Amino acid sequence: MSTSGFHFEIKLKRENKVYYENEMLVGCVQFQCPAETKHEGIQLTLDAIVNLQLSTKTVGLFDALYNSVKPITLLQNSLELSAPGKLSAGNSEFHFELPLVCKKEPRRLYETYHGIFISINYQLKCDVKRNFLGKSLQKVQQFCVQYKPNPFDDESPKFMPFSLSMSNVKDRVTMPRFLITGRLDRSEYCVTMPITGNLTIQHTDTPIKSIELQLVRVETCGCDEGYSKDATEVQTIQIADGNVMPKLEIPIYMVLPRLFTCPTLLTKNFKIEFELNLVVVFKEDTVSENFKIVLRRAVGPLPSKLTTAGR
Amino acid sequence: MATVEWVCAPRCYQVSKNYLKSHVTHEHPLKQLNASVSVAESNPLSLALALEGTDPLSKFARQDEELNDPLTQMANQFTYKSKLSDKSELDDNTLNWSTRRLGILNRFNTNEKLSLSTSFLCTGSAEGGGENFKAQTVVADKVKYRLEQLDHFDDGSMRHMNLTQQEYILRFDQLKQELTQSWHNDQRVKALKIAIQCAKMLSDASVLQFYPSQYVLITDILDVFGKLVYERLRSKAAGVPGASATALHRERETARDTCQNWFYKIASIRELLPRVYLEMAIFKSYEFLANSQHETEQLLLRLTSQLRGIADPLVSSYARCYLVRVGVPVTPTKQYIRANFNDLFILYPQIFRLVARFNLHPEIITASAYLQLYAPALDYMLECLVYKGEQYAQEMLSECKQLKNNGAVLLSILNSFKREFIATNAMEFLELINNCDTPGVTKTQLLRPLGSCVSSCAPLHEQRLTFLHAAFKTINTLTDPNEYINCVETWAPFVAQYFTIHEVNQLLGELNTRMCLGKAYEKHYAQLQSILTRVMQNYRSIELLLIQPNFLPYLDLFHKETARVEICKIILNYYKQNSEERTYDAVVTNALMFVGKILNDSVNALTVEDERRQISELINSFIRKVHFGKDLEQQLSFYVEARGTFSNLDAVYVTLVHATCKLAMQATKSMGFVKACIAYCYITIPSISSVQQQMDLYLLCGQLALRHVCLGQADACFEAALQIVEELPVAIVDFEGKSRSLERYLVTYFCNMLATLIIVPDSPEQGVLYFPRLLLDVVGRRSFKPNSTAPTIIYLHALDMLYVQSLKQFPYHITGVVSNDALYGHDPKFLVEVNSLCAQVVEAILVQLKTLGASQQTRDQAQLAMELFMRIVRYADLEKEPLCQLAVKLWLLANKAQAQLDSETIPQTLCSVEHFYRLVKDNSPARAQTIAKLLLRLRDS
Repeated sequence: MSTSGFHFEIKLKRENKVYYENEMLVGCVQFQCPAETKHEGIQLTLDAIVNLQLSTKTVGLFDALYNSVKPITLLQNSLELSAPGKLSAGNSEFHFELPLVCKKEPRRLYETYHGIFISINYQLKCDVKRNFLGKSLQKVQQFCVQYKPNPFDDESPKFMPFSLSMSNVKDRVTMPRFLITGRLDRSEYCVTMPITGNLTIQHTDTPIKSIELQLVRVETCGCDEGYSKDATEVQTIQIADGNVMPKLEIPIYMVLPRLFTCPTLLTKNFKIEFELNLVVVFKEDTVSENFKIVLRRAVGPLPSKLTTAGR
Repeated sequence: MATVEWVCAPRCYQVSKNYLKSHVTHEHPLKQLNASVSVAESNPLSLALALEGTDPLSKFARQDEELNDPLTQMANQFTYKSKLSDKSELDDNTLNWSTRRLGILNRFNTNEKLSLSTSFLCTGSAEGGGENFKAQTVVADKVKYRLEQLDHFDDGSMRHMNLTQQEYILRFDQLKQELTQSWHNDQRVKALKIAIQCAKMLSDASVLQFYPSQYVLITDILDVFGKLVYERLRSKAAGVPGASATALHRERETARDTCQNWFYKIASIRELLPRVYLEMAIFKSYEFLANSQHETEQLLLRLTSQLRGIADPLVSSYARCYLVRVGVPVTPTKQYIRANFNDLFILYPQIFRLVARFNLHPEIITASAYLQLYAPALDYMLECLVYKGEQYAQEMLSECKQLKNNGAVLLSILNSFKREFIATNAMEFLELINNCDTPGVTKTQLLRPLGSCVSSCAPLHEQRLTFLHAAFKTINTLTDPNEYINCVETWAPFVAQYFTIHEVNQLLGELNTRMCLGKAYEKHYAQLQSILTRVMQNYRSIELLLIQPNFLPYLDLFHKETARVEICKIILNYYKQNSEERTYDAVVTNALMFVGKILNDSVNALTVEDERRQISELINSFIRKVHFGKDLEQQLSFYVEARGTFSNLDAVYVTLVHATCKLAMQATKSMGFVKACIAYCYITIPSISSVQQQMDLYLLCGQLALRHVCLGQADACFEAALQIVEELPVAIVDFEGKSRSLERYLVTYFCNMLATLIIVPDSPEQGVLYFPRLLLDVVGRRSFKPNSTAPTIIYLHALDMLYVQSLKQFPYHITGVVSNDALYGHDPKFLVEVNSLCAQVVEAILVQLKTLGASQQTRDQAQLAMELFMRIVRYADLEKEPLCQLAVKLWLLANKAQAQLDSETIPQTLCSVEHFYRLVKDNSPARAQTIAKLLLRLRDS
């Protein structure tokens, strides 16, 4: 029995592989065999795991390696697609339907997230068991879970004004005198919408080299022994290049990266939060201001009924 | 050979002309060409269609024309485009960009080293410029270079290169290729990286003078990238042909996803400038995401505001220019362009802060050069803003008024706004210019475009005069002659086109005084010439212009010989094209004589033939136009004066002789005047160097004198003509440098002469048949080419002429001239003279035939023998046996060479003999009999 031409994959019905909680995960496993193939059973497994890791900075290398926090399983569900038997030559499909419901603690499915210390993964795994001579075969298919869009209520804070000056700096002696004012349009943002706002340089003694906006993720892994809290950069974009005219309102505009952000998540065991740093770079000094923001999923990816007909 | 006895036989039949049948027609071989050309002139589009493939010659000509003239090309393209459809009309603004591109690349250049940093291109630089680079560098550099080369093996390392402009351009070409190649090799990320690196280089404005060109080069690459992305998405969205509706829908969804991915990717670029540029580059692809005009507009406005973050005003201006470039094809709204200008005006003082700095450091860049760097971007944006939308024009104008240091913007407005708009607001513009005091922008720079605007589209009629006065009040304040004349140059057509001669004269006078100061004219011949050209082009009456008191002094400004000659040529040319049919004003002719004299004096032994021809042609056309109506005396005295003035130009003399001859023909009453004319000609002709022309003109004059019964003059002319034949060269060299034999000409000339001589009566002083004898003498003495048939042909024609002399009545006469027929009254003594002369001629012919025979020219010999044979049959009295024998001999001679003759020659000759026989049969049976006899002998022989 040859296994060289043996080929299979897990296909999801939904093209973009994005699912909401409580939905049915519908799909099929497609097999392509050049010849009749024997197997010892085919099993499909659904896994959803939150992986947590303590950073070396807070805990120390040894602890980080050996004392990592236990992963949290959100979903574990397996399904026997086929009892031991034979797969006939040609194509064969095994359809499946799995509910996306978390029955135990925390009783909800978090959004898919890939961070540095925390990741939330959803995957389907298909194992084809073989007799003791043949190695069993495995295929993995990842998919995403998102929260249902929940529009902002109008009472959410409208905008966040700020001002930057020498007072933001501890070492005031060498700092140039300057004043920058501005605002972020809101404190809560939707992950699919850009972060907006504006700033105005009121005056400055030394020329500004650059003004940048930094998106930072703050991941907290908490456990009984203690917790680690780490802020790492997601992305930085420049919003002003060079010594911009004073009194000119400069827009703040940042598109949030899809893969590295998720709605702000606060749980018993871990937290995923986001912050913004507004960094003003002078020739020698830098000044920054930190903003805590809340990310939510308020709007769907894009109205999917949008067509390009007539173009 | 024995002496030939010749006796002319009287003509005993009526000569009648056989007229060819004629009929009316509308067709002729050249008609088609003419027709298509006339169509072409009215409409360049149909030219393209009409001549497509039909007429290769004019097609080539047309192509040449277009290649030489980018303007026509553009115009053609424009008309072509605008006719195609409304859609193409909409994006002709972007079409304009491609023409601007080259202009910018040519205008903004630098000698400084340019720096280019990229991680691509390693192979290119190692192969291409690398070798040269190595050779020139010292050891330390070499080591560095090698280390750099090592670095190349690490993927993605950045390399900085200092390049000359050419190398720089070359590198960008390579980058462009690299990008396209990567794209097609499915390395889309690499393509994107190249595009990003290119865009990054736009923030480097260290070599200021080159920045606009740098912008053009880099945006070219970005355009390519944007197009690649768009085309790919488009083909994705279109799906496989024939796919089902759902499949198509899915295709569109994936295209939309891919498109969104592109924008996500670009949104995460760290630096502001490349991020915005890249988004602009693929802006067209937003059509897969945004579906309403409003959304597109919002996107453009958002980008506009994002550009505020760029501090350098130059970089920012060009980025805005690019935004407009990508926005125009996508949406007709102008709001975002307006927003860009709002921002620019806020930024504007920043520019002048820099200008102030450059004023202190002119070694970096001068203030005016710095401001000109902005011009291409501003011009383009302004043009897009006011394209098909007047409402913004007024707004911009008033905004410009508010601005401090508004010179640069004003200049761009003048360059890019619609001329109609500028014309209606001309006074306002003038005021703005007057008040404008911007460092780096001179008044001249502003006045020049205003001048060219009002020249092509004038302000309202009522305002014109006040406007002109106001404008010149400003222009006259310019103290630098260079600035002054550069200004006037564009205003000249305006003055010439819309004002009276008084203002034009004033302008010329002003120029005279201004340019005389400190010999300013010496440096500005080109402008002075262009001003006068424009004035002549636009002023209605060139005559009126010529008689202005300031016109000739203006010419005096041209001290340099070549410039002077050039301007004189231009004047005469305009006179030739634009003046009225005839001129009789003495002042005009005097002025033109003055101009012509300058040209005449410029001709010397070193002048090339073509130049001489051009000048003569111009002066000739002037002479032909001078016409004093019935005052023939004045006309003649004008010709006399012209002869005195244009002594260097033969062609002018020829024209003068012809003109005088024509004049003589107009004289109806006064004999004295005609004689004066002929005398004029007679005196003028010897000054012409070409013998050929002299001969022609003498003959013409002789004929003219004969026509007016001035026998003495006629004789003198003919005598002179015949005397000069000796001097005629054997051959002349024509235009193409080939030598052309004059024998053929000589034959026709003598034929013409002989035809005239028929009616010239013998002069009592010279004896019988003086001129034919003289002519024969001249022919006899002239040395022809060996084996030439020319002398024989002339003799044959002389025989014709002499035969006519023997007739009782000549076939034609001039009224008043008593020709030989009446003079001698068919006197037998005269006939004897004629016969003996005929005999001489025949002898001469026989000698020629013999020489031809000796040199084996049997074909020529036979043909000519046949000719002589026919003449003997027709003219000679065949009763005389020797003549008859001669005829037979000639016949035999010709028949010997039958093989070489055309097959038709002999039968045809026989035919004509028979025809002749029938002609004479009725009137003179005796003669007919002799002919019959001859025919019999021919048959027997």
